[in-house]
Amino acid sequence: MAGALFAYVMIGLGDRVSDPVGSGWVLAGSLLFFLTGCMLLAIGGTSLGALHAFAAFLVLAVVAALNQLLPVLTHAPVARPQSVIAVATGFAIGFSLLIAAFYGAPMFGAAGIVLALTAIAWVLWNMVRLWAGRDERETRVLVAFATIAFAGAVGIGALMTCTLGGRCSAQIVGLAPLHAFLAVAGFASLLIVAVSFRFVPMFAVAHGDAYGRRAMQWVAVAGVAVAAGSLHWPLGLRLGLLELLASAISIGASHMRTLATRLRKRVDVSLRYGSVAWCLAIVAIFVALAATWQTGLQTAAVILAVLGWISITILGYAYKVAGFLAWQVAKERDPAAQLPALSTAVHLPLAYAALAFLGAGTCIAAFCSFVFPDHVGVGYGLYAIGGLAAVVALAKLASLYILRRQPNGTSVRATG
Amino acid sequence: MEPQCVQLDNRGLSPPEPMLRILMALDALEPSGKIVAKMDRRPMFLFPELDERGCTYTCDPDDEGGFLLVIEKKR
Repeated sequence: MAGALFAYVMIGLGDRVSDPVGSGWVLAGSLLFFLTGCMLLAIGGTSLGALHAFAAFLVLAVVAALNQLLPVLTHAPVARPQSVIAVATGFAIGFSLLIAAFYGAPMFGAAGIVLALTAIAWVLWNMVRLWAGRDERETRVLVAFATIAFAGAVGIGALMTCTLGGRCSAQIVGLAPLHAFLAVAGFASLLIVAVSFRFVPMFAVAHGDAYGRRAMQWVAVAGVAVAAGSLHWPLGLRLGLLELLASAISIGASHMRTLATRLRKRVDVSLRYGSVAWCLAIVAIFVALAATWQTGLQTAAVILAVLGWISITILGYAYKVAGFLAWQVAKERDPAAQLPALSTAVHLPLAYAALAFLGAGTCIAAFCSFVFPDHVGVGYGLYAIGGLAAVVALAKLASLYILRRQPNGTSVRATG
Repeated sequence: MEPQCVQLDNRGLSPPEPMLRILMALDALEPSGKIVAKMDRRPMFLFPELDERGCTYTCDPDDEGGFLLVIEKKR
């Protein structure tokens, strides 16, 4: 039985190395959670419900990204679209229950169980795929560290839902900072670092020589481990954050050197989002470091990391990934089709307006959270406008290929 | 005259080096020329670039566990 299930999930789809349908649906689902998070922030301000809507966005985006990237990069087997959609559905239901619980519904217990079970399934699946891949050892090891951090974050989160549901000791809530740090720094940040080593040169069409042996990624891993182990010991926490700061600056400089050797004339929209996000990451770590002396800065560090670094990076990379997935779906449907060029398919004025609002909203919200807490909503409002614009730009991009009109004038939909 | 044919062995290279080598070879290729490249991976992100440049291409598994990519540059 277990063997049959394993075969069903893991055996590749013939000679295919990509699953654009499964990944595309999951990416679309992640953007719905992003919009939900923007709306909750703009209407209700900082809340755990809004924060977990962004967590759902992040998790689903990562599920989609790894489903697409691991087979292409490492020769890991391609799963059936149903497999990734089943995992994503579990996360979507779990996070929906959790968000509802934070707004008063008695659903913490159910949310914890669904999220924990889905996370166990995804972590095991991911680890098997990482083990089965034969290339990109450094990337696979870094993704494995990020997956372990995810397991830790979800494990603590599940225990906390038991507490909030009245079933466990209240002391477990004290692990909330570790839960958040593992999710933001251990899971999201390490994954972004891992994929950026491949995405930046790929998107810019540039050599990857500037990365050398990627030693600084291990400094980032050490920084996460040291900081996570010292959240209640300021000296250790500062040491870990300093390691993260050094690796962020060093890897950022490597990306700059890579971009300098690009063959494309212009830096594309994904890389411009990535550049803004990387700057916000460095500021976020710096503010987190300052928050070890001035605790009032902790909210600003979280805003810069979640809304700035993580969300802007994912949205930026999504322009390339969503466009590519939609292009691939259209091409599989009709291999002879003359499709619009991907390099000019993004509505740039809308995408750059979105980036301006997202960046300004993040900075204003972070600044106000420390200096003018009553005005933090201004930043969230600007951010929500930018978020909506970015999602509209992504939807326009995907629809250009998926809802493309056939020569006889009929509009067709992807069937996979 | 026979159309130009460039042979590339991209095995053992990490992404995006295979894509870079192919795009650089494509820029230097005469119209109607052909590139035959041995690959470890199917170069998914290269295909839209080839489409944009008006090239035709096939990419099929070979006997050595990799892929054989054949690109033809149109006139």
